[in-house]
Amino acid sequence: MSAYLEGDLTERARHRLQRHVRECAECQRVLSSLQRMLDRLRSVSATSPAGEAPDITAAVRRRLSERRTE
Amino acid sequence: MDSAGSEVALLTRARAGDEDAFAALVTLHAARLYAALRQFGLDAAEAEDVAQEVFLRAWRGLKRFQGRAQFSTWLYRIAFNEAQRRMSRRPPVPVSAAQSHEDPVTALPQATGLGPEAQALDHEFTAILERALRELPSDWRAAVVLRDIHGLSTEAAAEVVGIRQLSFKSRLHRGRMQLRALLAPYLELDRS
Repeated sequence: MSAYLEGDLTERARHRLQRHVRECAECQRVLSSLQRMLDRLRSVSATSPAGEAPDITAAVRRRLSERRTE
Repeated sequence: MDSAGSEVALLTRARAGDEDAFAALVTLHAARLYAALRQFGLDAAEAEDVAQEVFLRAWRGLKRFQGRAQFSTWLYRIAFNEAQRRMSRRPPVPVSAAQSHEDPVTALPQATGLGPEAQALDHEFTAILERALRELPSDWRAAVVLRDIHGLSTEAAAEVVGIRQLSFKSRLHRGRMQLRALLAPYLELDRS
């Protein structure tokens, strides 16, 4: 199913899966929920919530400067 | 200049030793990288420490970065390797905790009576997602994080974890299926 959602199946395999899913309520439920989950994951910001991420730039600058003066 | 163009310009300057340009690159990528490190399974202190280490390594290795991969993919690769190393050094989980019979689904935060839209608030979902991700084997977790949350192509994500695309797809499928089962009650995934 994952390969189907990735568009990785051959045309024949895709049709076979689509045919099966039309007739199998369980697979229909799994495929549809998988798709909904992926939509949700992709809409999540890949960055941390505001205010949570530490100031990494300042820390890296400080460490670079320490190395320079060593 | 577009963002890709400005990144190339910053890289060129950073390679020549310009720390300000490198700091600008860090600012561009730090939040995503930190989030990925948390999602790979590091705690906040570890992720902060490792994120700094990743950028310091990148700075030292900038001249070796050929630009064949995207700069972000290169950073993810350093971050993934560093996170793996850090997690492998952790003391083993005590047997009693490792054999906990706690159901990973019920161990997630209680789903509230709010509708899916309200529950889908990013910060709330992020916390639920982080806990669910921790229930996945680390290999599967990394695949889902890179491909489905951070949006890397299969090719780039497989390169980050250092495996062939076919193996990566297998991990991704397993990770997705387990995560689906864990998140189902919170996203009403099983509604028809």
